[in-house]
Formats: sequence, structure tokens, C-alpha cells
Amino acid sequence: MTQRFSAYFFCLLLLALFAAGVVRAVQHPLEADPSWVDGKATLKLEKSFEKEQAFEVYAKSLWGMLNYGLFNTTGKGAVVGEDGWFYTAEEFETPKDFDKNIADNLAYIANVKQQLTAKNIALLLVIIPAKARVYPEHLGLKKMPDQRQGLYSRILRHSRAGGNPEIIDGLSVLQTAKKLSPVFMRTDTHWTPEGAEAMAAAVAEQAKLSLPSATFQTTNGDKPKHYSGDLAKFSQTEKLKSLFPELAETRREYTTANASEGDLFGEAAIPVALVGTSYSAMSEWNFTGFLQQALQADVMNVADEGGGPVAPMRKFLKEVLPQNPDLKLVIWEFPERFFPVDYRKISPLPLGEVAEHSDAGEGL
Amino acid sequence: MIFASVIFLCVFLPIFLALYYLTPFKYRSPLILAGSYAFYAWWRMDFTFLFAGVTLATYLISVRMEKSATPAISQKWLIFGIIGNLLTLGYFKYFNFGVRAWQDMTGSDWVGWHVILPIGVSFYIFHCISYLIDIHRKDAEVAKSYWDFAAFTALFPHLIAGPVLRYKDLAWQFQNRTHTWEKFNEGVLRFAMGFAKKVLIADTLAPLADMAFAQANPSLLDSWLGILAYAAQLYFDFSGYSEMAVGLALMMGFRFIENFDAPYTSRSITEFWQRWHISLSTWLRDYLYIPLGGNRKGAIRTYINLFLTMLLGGLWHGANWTFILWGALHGAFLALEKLLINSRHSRENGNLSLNAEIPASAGMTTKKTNKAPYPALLAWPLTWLVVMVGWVFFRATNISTAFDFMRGMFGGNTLMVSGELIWQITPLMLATLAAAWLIALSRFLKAGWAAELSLGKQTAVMALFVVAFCKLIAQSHSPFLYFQF
Repeated sequence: MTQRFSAYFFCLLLLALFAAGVVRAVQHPLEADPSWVDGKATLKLEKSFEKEQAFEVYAKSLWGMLNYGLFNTTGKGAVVGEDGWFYTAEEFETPKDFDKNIADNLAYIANVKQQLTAKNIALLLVIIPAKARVYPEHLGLKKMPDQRQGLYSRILRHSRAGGNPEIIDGLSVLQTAKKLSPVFMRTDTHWTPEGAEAMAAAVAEQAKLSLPSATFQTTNGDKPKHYSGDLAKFSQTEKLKSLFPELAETRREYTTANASEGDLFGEAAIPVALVGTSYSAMSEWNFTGFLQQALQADVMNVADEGGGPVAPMRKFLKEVLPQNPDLKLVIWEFPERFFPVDYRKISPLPLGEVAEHSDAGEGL
Repeated sequence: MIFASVIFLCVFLPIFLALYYLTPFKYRSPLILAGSYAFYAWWRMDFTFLFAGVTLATYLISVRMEKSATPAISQKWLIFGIIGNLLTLGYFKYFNFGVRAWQDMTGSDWVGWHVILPIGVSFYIFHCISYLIDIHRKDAEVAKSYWDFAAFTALFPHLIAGPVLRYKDLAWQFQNRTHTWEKFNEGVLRFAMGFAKKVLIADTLAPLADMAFAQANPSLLDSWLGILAYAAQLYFDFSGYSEMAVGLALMMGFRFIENFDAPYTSRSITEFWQRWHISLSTWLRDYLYIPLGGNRKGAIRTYINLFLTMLLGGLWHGANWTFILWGALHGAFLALEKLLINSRHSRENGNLSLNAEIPASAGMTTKKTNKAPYPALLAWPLTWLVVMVGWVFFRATNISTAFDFMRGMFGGNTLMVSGELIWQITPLMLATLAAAWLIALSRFLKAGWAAELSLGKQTAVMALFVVAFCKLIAQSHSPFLYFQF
């Protein structure tokens, strides 16, 4: 019997896997391709079959538990620090054409400033530093590659040169604010609401524009909310997450309301637009609300999640700006880690939107 | 389709095994053939026709050889068969390389056309050639049944990446193999262990090797981490695959030869080739080295034959100058070791002539070499270093990259792990690297380990298989390295 144990176990396992495969095929139609001769159809079928298998989440959870629990390692995309801190791998990557992409993006920013200046609209660039730069003490043995180490100071140095928009030195702001409360979520790529609030205060101090006033009031929730960040998902522990309490944390919930709402005679034009990424788009951080409170002016949020900071700006210039001629100020939130990204690969920019290999690259 | 995939485990294998055991024995060869062709066609149906065509043509030639009126005519058929097979291999595997080499040599801008490399072509062509030569040598008889021969060449466990088998070794098994639960059990354990080697070790180390080899100027630590990772990845990927092949064959009652035997414990390159890809090295010995003259034509010719055999063996692995250089390195060391053994033998026997009779034991044999050509303390580290240097050529995309990498290995760049690498190295990678080398440098899994295994050890192996399966689901699969051959 001993010399049949593995055989029986394997046969039962194969039967279970086959049954799961049948269920999968019945419940979700498989995708195929018309081209059967050259293997495209079978490849598509195979990839389609691999998704949404009944055992998938359990298999991933078991592997995640072992991988993270025993080796403090996650799937690709996150960098595990110490004390339960996670960082996004995007802050460490050194893609091809690193310097050229930075120069191109800086040139695009200068181009945007020109377009807005022509319409008498001020542009304020908020550079959000890498979380690994604000909290290096939790990185442990990991460190940013040399190319990335100097990136923030390069951006700052260039941006302070003539012809560039005013910038908020997000690193100084957050390094000061972190002494009072955490400014980045431990298990998430993003800042805390307190970090967003500190940045909003810095924006208001620097903006110094005469804006149509409104009265905004921010309140915070009574109890901190349970939260597990986007980076914790890379642990792949899913069904077994409760075994790892450090994968969860809490955050406060803030709400900002317009106390002067309810005027009977039409709506005032919104003077400020916020363009950016998930740091601005996600209501969890309440960046829009904090800006409204700090500026005591209404802010239109045209930020977008998942596509970086350039695509929302392109969309804003093309679709939103023409409809809002009374804008006075555009706040463009631009995370540091996105400067070396080639946005032409995500959506090709028309000629004229980015300088042909930028002179902005010189002297960086 | 590969063994370490969801579709294979959830669909192909359960259905095939069920049909296999429901089918009467006399129809199992056609079933194996149909199942194996379906397995191959999952990659590309068009190239399945090529494969079937090569198989049929080889079989028909073997029949003509048997029915030839004279040995001379039979030999002509043999030559026709070998040339036909080699031309097929040459066209599909080396045409693109030939075009590039022509462009480099002549400056021509002729680009020809792109030829797709059919997977497994190097293996099935070698199966066909060995079949024809064995018939000519009277080491084997023509297959009594076309189905048996076709099923042999197509047998999916060894179809894509070996072991390189001989029809004569399996012919009897097509007619007389047994099927028992104990044999199936042994097969399951071999398959499970191979699967774990591939998914848990090779796939974990692959990104580490890739990162290191991607560095333009790798530091000393970058390059050593990289080559240690690659050497382990290659071994566990390939030996894992071979072990899965052995296991799947056992599940069908076939017993394949072992393909690996702790190669990184070798004390000479000669011994290395008695432990690494054993089925290939014995094939090269029997069908290339011996026809070239082996060690029967004096010392100088022996060294040349050894060098040429390994040079062509390198070329078999891939259409790139790096593989040729790798083969040349191994060939040079095989020849050097033969020279050292000959010199020692000559001194011991008082005969200083280089062309003295060489004892049969000094040739390429299957017995493990007992007398290493090098001093005892130097034997293992030197052999290991030569093998590692060889793997740099094997892995690098071109010769220039290989030398850049070696510059890092031997201290020509900086010392510490570079910033581009350090944040990507995970504790799992380091733990796996350490475990891999502990296993590789021991004779941990001896031949026959899976037979008569205790219940506790079987449970451990099956647990490893389940964990490996979970890892496969959690991470995208990577293909077997030897697929490119």
C-alpha cells in the first residue's frame, strides 16, 4: 500500500484538477482565435483557460503565505522593506532611455506652462517624492539605484530654471510633516490624508493668487478605518491575509464640504483645476478637499488613476480647458517616479507637444 | 504545451492517462501516437505535419534498407536517410544563422527569409538518425510495426526536450512493458520531483540570472551571483524536465535511461560529460566520435575527434557562435585531459611516444572515470570553474557580451553588487540559490530513489509538488530552457 500512496494521491489530484477545468470551461466561455494552424488559437485558449480557475485564489494564497511568511518576499511590483513597510518597484526601476525620458517629460511640462500662460492661467507643479526617499529608514538593505538617487534633485534643479512652472518641493514638505504624523501609508503606494493635507497647505502658501472665495470645512471621521494598501496585494496572501496583521493598517477618513453651497443665483466658475494621478483622484486621501480648505476656493478635480500624470493633463488641455475659460490656477500633481517613463509608449504625443530631443536634457 | 502548465495537468494528462488505461494493449501505440501528435500540435499544427513526414520517411527508408539486395545499396539508403534528416535539421535550425554569418562575412544586405525553428527538431532528428544507423550496424531490427516506431519518435514525455533515446532500447518495451501500481507510483514521484525542481528552483533563479546578464558592466558580485544562478537554473530546469519525462514514461510503463547524475561534482570535463545530459553525450560518442575514428587512429587523431565531436555538439545546442565556442572549450579540455592521461600512462609504462597505443579505458566510456587527469586538490575546483566559464558562453547572446560578463567575473569591473540589482534580489532567491547548490554538489537523489520510498518521504515529495503547483499558479510560467533546441 505504501508503494501506491503517491499514485492514488496523484490520481485524485488529477481528477480534482480535471473537474475544476470542466467547471471553468462551462462557467466562462473560453477565448480562441480562428487561426488553428500556426498555434495562435491554442495559445489564446490556453491563456484563457488559465484564468478564473476555481483553485486559483487558494493556490495563490498558499504560495503567498509561504513566500511572504517564510522569505519576506512578494510578487514582482513591490519592494519589501522592514517593519511591515512596502514600496512600489516603480520607484527603483531604471528603464531604458532613462535620461531621455526625463528630459522629454520636463520639456512637456515647460510646453504646458507656455500653453497655460498664453491663457493667463498659472501653473503650480507639485512634485510628490518617492516614498523610499521620504522613508528610507524602513528600506533595510535595499536601496535605490544610483540613477534614481539623484533624480529628485535633478528635477528640482531643472524646474527652478527660467521658463518652468513654479514648483512645490514636496520632499521638504513631507519630511517636515512626517515629524508630526505619518505622511505615507505603510502598505500603499500613496500618501496619507495627513500627507495630502500638508501638501495642500504648502500649495496655498505658495499660490498667492486672488481667487474667488468660498468657505470649505473639513471634518474627520470618529474612528480610523481599517485599510490594506495596494502594495500589500503583492503578498498574494489573499485568503490567508489574516495570518499577517502587518498587511493591514488604519487611516482616518476626511470629508470636506462647501459651507457656502446653496446660493440661489447660479454657480460661480471654479477657479482652480487639479490635474494628476491617483494621489489626487482617490477620495481616500481627500487632496481635493484639503486644497479647497487651504485655498478657501473651489477646486475642480480632473485627476485620473492608473495612467500617470501626463495623460490626465493631455485630456485636461483638450477637453476641460476650453470649457473653463475662467480658470486662474492649475495644480499639477506629478509623482517623482513617473519622470523616467516614456509616455509615448502609453499614448503617442502629437508633434509639438514634446520638444524634439530636448535641450532641457543639457545641464541636468 | 509544457509539462509545468495548467492545461497539461488539468486537461491533457488526465484525459490521456484515462484513455491509455482504458485502451487494450495492442492499440496503445496508436493512442500514444495520436496523443503525442496532439501534444505537439498544441504548439503548431503545421509543424506536426513536418514531424510526421520526417518520421514516415525515416521508417520507409529503414524498410528499404532491410529489403535492399546488397549491403552497398542498403548503405546508400542509409546515407540518403542521414543526409535527408541532417538537411531538415540544417534548414530549420541553421538557415537564419547562415544568413547572418553570410552578411557578416560578405557585407551583403541579403536577408533571406525567416525560418521558424520547430520545437524538438534537434531531438527527433537525432532519434531518426540513430535508428537508421543502428539498423545498418545490425544493432537493431527494423520496427515490426510502423505504429511502434512512430509512437517511439513522438512519445510525448521525451518529444520536446529529450532524453535522446534509441529505438533499439525501447523497441522491446513497446511490445512487452508492464503496468503496475508500484511502477506508476515511482513515475508519479519522479514527475513530482522534476516538477518541483523546475518550478521551485529553476524558475525562482531565472530572474536573478537574467538581471545579472542584463548588466552592461557587471561587478564581481553581480557576475558571480549571475553565473551561480544560471548554472543552477540550467541544471534544475533541464534535469527537472528529464525527471518529469522519466516519470511520465513510467506512468505508461516505459523505463527511460537517466539523463543526469550529479554533474557539478565532476572532477574532470570527461567525467562531466558522463554525468550531464548523458543521453546526448552517449549519442555523440556512438554516432559521431566513433564513426570519426574514436581513439582507434592514434593519439593526435583522438584529440581531434574529441574536439570536433564537442564542437558539433555545441552547434547542436544552438545556432550562435557562442554555442560553438562553448563546444570548442569543452572539446579542448576533453582533448587536454586525454593528453594528460596518455602522458601519465606513458610514464607509468615507460613509453613516451604520443602515438602509442591508447588503452580502451582512456576513450569516451560510460564508466565513470576513476582517475582524474588533474591533481586531487585541483580536480574539482578546476572542472567546476571551466564548466562555469563555459556557461557564460552558453547564456550570453553574443561573444562580446560573454567577454564583458567574464571581465566582471574576474575583477575587471567594480566589486560590490550594483544598485540596479540589489533592490531586486529577494530572500527567496538567495535561499533557493543556496539550497540549489547544496543539492547540486551532493549526490542527493541517486538512481532508483523513487522506488521503495518510505511513506514519510513520499508525503514530502507530494507536498513539494503541491507547493510547486501553487507557485506555478501564482506566477506566470517560464518555458523550459532546452526548448530552444
